[in-house]
Amino acid sequence: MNAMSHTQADNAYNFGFLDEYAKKEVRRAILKAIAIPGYQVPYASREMPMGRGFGTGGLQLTLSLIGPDEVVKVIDQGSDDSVNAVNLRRFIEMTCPGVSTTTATTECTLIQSRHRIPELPLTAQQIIVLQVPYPDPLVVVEPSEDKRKIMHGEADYSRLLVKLYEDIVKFDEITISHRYPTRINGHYVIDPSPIPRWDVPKLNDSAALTLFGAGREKKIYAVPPHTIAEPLAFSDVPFRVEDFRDEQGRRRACARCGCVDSFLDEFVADSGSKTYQCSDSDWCDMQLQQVKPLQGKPA
Amino acid sequence: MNKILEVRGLSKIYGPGCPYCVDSTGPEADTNLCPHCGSVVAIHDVSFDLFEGEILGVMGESGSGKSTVVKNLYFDQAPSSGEAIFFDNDKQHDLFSLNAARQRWLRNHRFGMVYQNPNLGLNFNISAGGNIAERLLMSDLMDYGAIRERAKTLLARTEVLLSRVDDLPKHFSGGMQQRVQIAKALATQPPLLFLDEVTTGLDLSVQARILDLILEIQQELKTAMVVVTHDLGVIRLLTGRAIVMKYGRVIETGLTDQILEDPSTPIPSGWWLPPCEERSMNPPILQVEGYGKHFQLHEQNKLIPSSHNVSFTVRAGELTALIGPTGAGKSSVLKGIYRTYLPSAGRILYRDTMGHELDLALASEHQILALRRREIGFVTQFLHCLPRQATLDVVAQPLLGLGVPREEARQRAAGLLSAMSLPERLWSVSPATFSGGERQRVNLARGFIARPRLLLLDEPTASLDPATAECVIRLIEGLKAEGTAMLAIFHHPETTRRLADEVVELTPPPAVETLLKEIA
Ligand SMILES: Nc1ncnc2c1ncn2[C@@H]1O[C@H](COP(=O)(O)OP(=O)(O)O)[C@@H](O)[C@H]1O
Ligand SMILES: [Mg+2]
Ligand SMILES: [Zn+2]
Ligand SMILES: [Zn+2]
Repeated sequence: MNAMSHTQADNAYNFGFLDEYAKKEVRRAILKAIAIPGYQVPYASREMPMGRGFGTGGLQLTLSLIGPDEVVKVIDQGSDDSVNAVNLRRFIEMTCPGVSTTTATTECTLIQSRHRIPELPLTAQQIIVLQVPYPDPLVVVEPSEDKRKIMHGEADYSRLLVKLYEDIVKFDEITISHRYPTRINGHYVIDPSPIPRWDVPKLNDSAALTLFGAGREKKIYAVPPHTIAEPLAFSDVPFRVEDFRDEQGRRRACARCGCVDSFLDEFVADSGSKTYQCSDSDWCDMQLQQVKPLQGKPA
Repeated sequence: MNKILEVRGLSKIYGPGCPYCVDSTGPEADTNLCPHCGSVVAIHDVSFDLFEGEILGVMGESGSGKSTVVKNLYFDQAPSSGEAIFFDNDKQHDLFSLNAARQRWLRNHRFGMVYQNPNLGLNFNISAGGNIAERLLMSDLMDYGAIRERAKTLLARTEVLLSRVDDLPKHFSGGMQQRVQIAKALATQPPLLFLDEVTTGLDLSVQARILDLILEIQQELKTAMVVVTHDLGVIRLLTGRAIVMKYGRVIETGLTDQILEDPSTPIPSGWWLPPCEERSMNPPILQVEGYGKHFQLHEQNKLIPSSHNVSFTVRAGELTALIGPTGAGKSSVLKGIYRTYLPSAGRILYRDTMGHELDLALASEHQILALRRREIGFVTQFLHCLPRQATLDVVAQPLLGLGVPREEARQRAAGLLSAMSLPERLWSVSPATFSGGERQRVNLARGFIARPRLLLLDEPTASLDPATAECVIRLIEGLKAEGTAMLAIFHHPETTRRLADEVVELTPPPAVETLLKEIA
């Protein structure tokens, strides 16, 4: 990362927008978060020139880690081209002169993402920062933060598990679609941010460092590389990812690239017919490129 | 019997506290509010022991500190001072010196609590089954099917309809909420359970079923319990021993019936006779020597003698009858032997099944409770039973206490009741509405059913019509023939003549002055 601590003469902002003291504090919190996998480390979240809820928590992590030779990728809901992603990317480009941005997962060193983890397995050279709206998975069962802290400390997640129990009683399955509570390194349970269930297994034993930043709640937590991440489940009702099979039981394919093992977004046409496409736009492009040369060859 | 809980000097003061708090509060001061600093001395210097499988009562008026005692022990709040040791198999936990995490662990895994207010014990926003699942999930059970089965079993055990397992307890009746609370408290099979006024505010019939359930659980699971209540009926029905609290102090402790019936304070120890030296070749089951009972009414600083210098023996297969005018202290002799009264003088030597001789006047409360359960029966003129409990179950109760399965116990009760010609239509209703004669037959059946070695009978035929009396007399003859030793007081001299092998005539005790001279 090799973060630099100099102000460019032609730039009104410090490199990375945050002052060096703020960066240092965030980095310290990150180190602590890595040392205690899944533990929510409090930090002094700064005011950013955009509303909280637009990924300021994640952005502060990114800006604290970024160096001039960084290659950054910003994703929003799997897409590199949404307004949100574009705005964040522009902000980084503006405040971090020299940093390059990319949409290619293969090329980037630092990913800031909301709602998705790329389909392509990340490498040890990469860090992914996820934006978190609600950092504490216990907030749904316990309003008092003091009590939640005790529950985390004792790894007492019985009340969260009861929610799963009640889900199975009512619906015969666990219905949580996003923010699936996941136990890290056998102790702390985290809210992995609003990624779909599909992405949760990617946290387990990942080669890349995964960081979580909640701006409004002022919390940072981490899943370090090669750490066990287990979605909460019962031994006889295991965790399952989204099912993309059609009525005939066949796996749906991406209408664009034909991929049959990616997370699909559903599009409903005016006619009412549904089509499916890779949610990860970079992945879809990659698949398309691999397919095209094949098609180019004479049969 | 092993001790499970030892509480010593437990105190809790609400407020800043000051050096005068303790001295200026309590029963003598007639308040628990410190006049100097305004603190509430909710409890002070509370000590007691609880043994495995035992039910201990904590009684007293509202505000006397009963709930505070269990709240401290269940870690709902921290005491101001005091100590409590919890003996868990071979481990010993000094409860108030454990860190918070260990305390919570014990609370979740080894203790259970049933609150008067179900809102405190239950999460009203999750289903009845979910409430139990929560406790199971605390102890690493991670199999949905197994958790669900266990929750259903517990709810069935506490008589919650299985069709309601998935309903929210906030839609349940008060009685059903208490049953769910009990099921939840039992989920981890804790060896120690606290119950705080669990039947207060419920309908009488609902109360009865819950009290019955608590007794069943104690008999089945051998759970030790601390039962807090201001209801004397509940204390009498559930507990063998109790402590009485007033303004935060324990003012009395002992056998429950003794607390309720013997108003006197324990007598000084110098009154006991020296232990007897010689042994006869064929000793009787019971040998009473110089028994005396004096009530010391401390309000009036007055001594009232009720029995004086009574001696007699009772042998296996024989009936000893006590006769004498009213005021001779006949009933007080029976109560002294049963220890409903704490004897003031004399020796009550009882030879148990094992041939060991024991002075009932000096025996520990636990020895007395064990003898009451297994060897010594007492039929008084009053029937104490759970309100609204079916007659058959009232009679079967002593057998359940001995571990006889419920069905078999019921069958034996039915046999006995038909032998006493109690109409079958009455078996399934509570004896509360019975005529005196009917109720007395139930009372006798209950006293006979476990076939005690020594049976104490206080005017058992008094309220019976001649035909029923005859039937009871036959039963007594039958028991005698089977070897039961009996000590009885009969209303009719003919009955005494017909049944007694030995007759002891009591005379009213001498006046206090004479007595005091004798003692001096
Ligand atoms: N949180 C509290 N703050 C101040 N006083 C309290 C508190 N809880 C109980 N008390 C007082 O302590 C005394 C004992 O209360 P409690 O143990 O609830 O009595 P009981 O259960 O015998 O009715 C009462 O005088 C009560 O008002
Ligand atoms: Mg109370
Ligand atoms: Zn695609
Ligand atoms: Zn005071």
